[in-house]
Amino acid sequence: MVGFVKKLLQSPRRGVICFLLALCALVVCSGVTRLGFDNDPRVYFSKDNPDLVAFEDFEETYKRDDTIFFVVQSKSGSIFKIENLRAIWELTDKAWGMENAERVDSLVNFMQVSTVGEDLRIEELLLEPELLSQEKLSDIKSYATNHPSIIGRLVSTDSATTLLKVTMLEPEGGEQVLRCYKEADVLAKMMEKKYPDLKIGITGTYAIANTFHMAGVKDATSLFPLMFGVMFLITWMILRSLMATVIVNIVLVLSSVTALGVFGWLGFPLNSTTASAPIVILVIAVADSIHMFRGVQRYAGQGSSLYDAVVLSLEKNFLPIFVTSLTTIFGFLSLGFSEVPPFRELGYLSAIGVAAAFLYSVVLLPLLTVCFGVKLSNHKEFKWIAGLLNFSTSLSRSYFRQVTLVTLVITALALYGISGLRIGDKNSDFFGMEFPFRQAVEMQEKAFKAGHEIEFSLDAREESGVFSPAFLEDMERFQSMLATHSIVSHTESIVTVLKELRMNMNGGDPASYALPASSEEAAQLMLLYETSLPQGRDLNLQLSSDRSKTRVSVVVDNVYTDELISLIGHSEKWFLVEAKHARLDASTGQSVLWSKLYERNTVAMLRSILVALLSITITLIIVMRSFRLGLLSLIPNISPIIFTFGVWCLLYDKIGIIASAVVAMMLGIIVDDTVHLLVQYKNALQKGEADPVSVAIFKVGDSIITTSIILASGFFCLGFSGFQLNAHTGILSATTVISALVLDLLFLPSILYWFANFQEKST
Amino acid sequence: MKVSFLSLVLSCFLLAFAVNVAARESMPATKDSAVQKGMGIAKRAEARDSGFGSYSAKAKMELKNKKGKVTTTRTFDFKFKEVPGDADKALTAFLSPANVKGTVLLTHGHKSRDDDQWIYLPALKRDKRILSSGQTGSFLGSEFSFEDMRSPVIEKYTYRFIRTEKIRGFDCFVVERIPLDKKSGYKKQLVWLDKAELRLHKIEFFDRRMKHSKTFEAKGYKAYKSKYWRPMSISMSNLKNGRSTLITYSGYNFKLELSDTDFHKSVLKRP
Repeated sequence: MVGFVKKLLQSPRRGVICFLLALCALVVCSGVTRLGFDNDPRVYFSKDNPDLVAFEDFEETYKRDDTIFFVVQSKSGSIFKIENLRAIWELTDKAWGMENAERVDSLVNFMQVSTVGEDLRIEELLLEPELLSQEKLSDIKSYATNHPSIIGRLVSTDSATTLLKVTMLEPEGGEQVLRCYKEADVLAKMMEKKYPDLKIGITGTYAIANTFHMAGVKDATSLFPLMFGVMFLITWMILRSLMATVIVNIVLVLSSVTALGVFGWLGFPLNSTTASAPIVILVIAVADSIHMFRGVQRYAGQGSSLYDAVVLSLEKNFLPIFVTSLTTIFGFLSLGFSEVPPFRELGYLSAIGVAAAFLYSVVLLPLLTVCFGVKLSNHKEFKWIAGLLNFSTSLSRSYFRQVTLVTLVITALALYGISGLRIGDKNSDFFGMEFPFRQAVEMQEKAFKAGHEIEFSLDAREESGVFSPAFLEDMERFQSMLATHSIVSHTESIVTVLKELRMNMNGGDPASYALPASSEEAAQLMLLYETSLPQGRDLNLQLSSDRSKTRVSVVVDNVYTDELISLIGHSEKWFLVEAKHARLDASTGQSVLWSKLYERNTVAMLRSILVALLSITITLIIVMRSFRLGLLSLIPNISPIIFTFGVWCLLYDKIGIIASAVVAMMLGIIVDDTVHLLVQYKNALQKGEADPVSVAIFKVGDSIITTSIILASGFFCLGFSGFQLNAHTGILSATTVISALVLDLLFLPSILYWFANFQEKST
Repeated sequence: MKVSFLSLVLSCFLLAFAVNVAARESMPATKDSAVQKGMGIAKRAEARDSGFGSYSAKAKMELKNKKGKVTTTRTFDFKFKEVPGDADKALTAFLSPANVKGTVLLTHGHKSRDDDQWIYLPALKRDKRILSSGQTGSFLGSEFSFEDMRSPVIEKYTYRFIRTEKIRGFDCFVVERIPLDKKSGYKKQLVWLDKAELRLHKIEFFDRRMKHSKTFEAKGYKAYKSKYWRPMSISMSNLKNGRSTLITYSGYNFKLELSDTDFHKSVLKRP
């Protein structure tokens, strides 16, 4: 390979070759134009994921729920004011006119069933705002705060917040979602201005999709430029040559775009996670190029011609760059075991990018450097780096026992901390708090104690079976069982509807507020209910079309994954043991999907970490031709990861599914420093140096410190991503890189000193 | 919300015949003449169908999902009576599914106020008058709304003749009508009436965004008492959600001579 590049460099037509190479690269890169972007949170589940299949079956049985929620909060603490109810009426009325709106449900159009003398009255709670008097207001308030389907559901228990649900048609495309959201947003702003007591937030599936778009735009307009700027600046600060910096950045951009191009040609659309790949590639690729240029600078500084310096640098750096690229690629490829498709794609995409970066760094970069005759400033040693290295070697030489022990103790502490880390993920966690959607979700969750929604589908196993009294009784008992769980804040099913109608058919007698006595009675009450349903709603939201299944919707507090899973486990067991007629057909919902995804992914995650560890270790053993050093290299690479998560749990109490991807990915990246160190250590050892550890550190210290700074600052930039998953990846990775550097400069030398000490004593 | 089962049948028909007129070919020269011509067609259509007295029939209602699959089927008997000077009376009795058999709905339509409605649930052995004033809600979960099912009162719309057009072999007038009632779920309706007998063949409904949202169609007309045309089937397709509802009729009987006592609320409890 090196010989081949040398030939290219010597060729008189190297300019043409350079041009042709760039042309090839551009063809590959042109695949970028074929890239689409997938905004659907469902991309995080494989098509054949059994939980997703169950969820989609559920949607097929009942109805897909596309929504826009207006979360309306009164600043003065009560929505039960004439002005505020008028506002809700107006918002309800206006929301009806929104594009794609199929149905609006709010406090004011809630169907009130009541007994008036001998008659049954079925009417919207507030038909017209003109009807609002103090008396009407207190009627509405007392009805709403006592109705099980309103309080805690449409109106918060403290009466300060109300929800307005707009059932939307399934969107025809991304553009339409954005347009509809915009319309809702304008409406909310207009209402806030007209009614200053109100604060209005927007949530729902349309808001999620819109925020995906906003976060994407934010990343494209601020994160990418920031990232690029930082990389450019750092490269320039280290290389002190504009030309070299430009060449490095050409290599960086080409590497990223090549990976994207390959993906485009393969027909994969990007999603919020894989959109971070270009940045990850950029960060990793810059290390290769910097190593190459630092070498060129050094040799040129020692008096070699530009051509000789390039060749020397290539010869010197080829193997380390090759090995580190290889381990990084292994790390990324091991993500292929993940249950989460975007993580797999991120792995493949980054692996392609790293491979491209390697090729561009060893072929294109030397060619460009020679062709353009880059003028390099002298190689400049950074004084502070030398100071740092002095400090680290003397510390680890004198106090190797203490340093090793302290590190081990901290690692153990971190490990203990991690065991307390809870897992939690849901759709809203995708975005940072800077987005209005997240703020609205917080507002909604706080007011309604609603973090998750679980949907239970109950099966009677025969046509019209849901009307049978035995089935309904099971359902009622199931709901009472759920109500005993402190994390359950609300349950809803047709049971409440039937009881209320039954009471009103019996002249409002509270004694009749009970389950129907026969299937016929239940079916007929349901028919009566159906006739009273407002526009855009039908029973298919509650019942399967053959009336053999019905659903119980459960609102659960903002709890962790394990509590959610345990509630579901408990429910499943209840049906096996306690239920006489009803069978549990499915327990599903968005939150359930995420919780189960985590469970599913755990095994996959462990597998990918193991494979990454194994393939990296084997590579190291082969490269260093030493079993012992290969194994030794693992210790300073596992500890930083434990460290990082330890720090994380000091700051937060929960972590998302991204953690699983970060571990395998980072292993491949941070192992590089160790490889450089150990290779030099071995060389020094063979040369019979007196202090091989110190020699090795001084030889590679400069380059591992600069690359670590580049990596850490790059990943740190990723921390500004609008997508929480990417931001967390960035912060976790940056922390890992820094702790890996510290450990490589202190912990690894200490271990090596201890070993040497141990060997001395034993001989 | 209007709770009127009865009016299902009632209104299907009224809808169909609300607008009936003698044919006039000439295109209107001005806007005013278009309004006059539209109104004229509507009035003639109403006059054309009056005087039938009473009748009964059987109906089957099928709700279809997006894929055209029938998800729910219901059958009922209904009786229908013309009330001079006011909207009509209707009695609907469910035949199937078995668990709602015997459920009866009675509607007394009114031109100037909300309809009177009663429901009888045999399992509870109870009848109730239902007070409600909504009209945009779905009729029994179908794509028909109560508003669609109610007998249209000429005074509640403004009319405008638009054009003539041939659909399914019938030369039709196309008349635009705009509801005056603010509570209506529609901004506008386009109505197709054939020139020969002023039978209603099609209505296009436009929602609050003036978007064509639903289409009504009536097919298979037959004449009873040699002049009262009734369709064998009517359907409503919702263009927004892809669902549709089909109602097919059979056994029209115009010879019953039903009296007001047949539509009195006391009939509800009769087996």
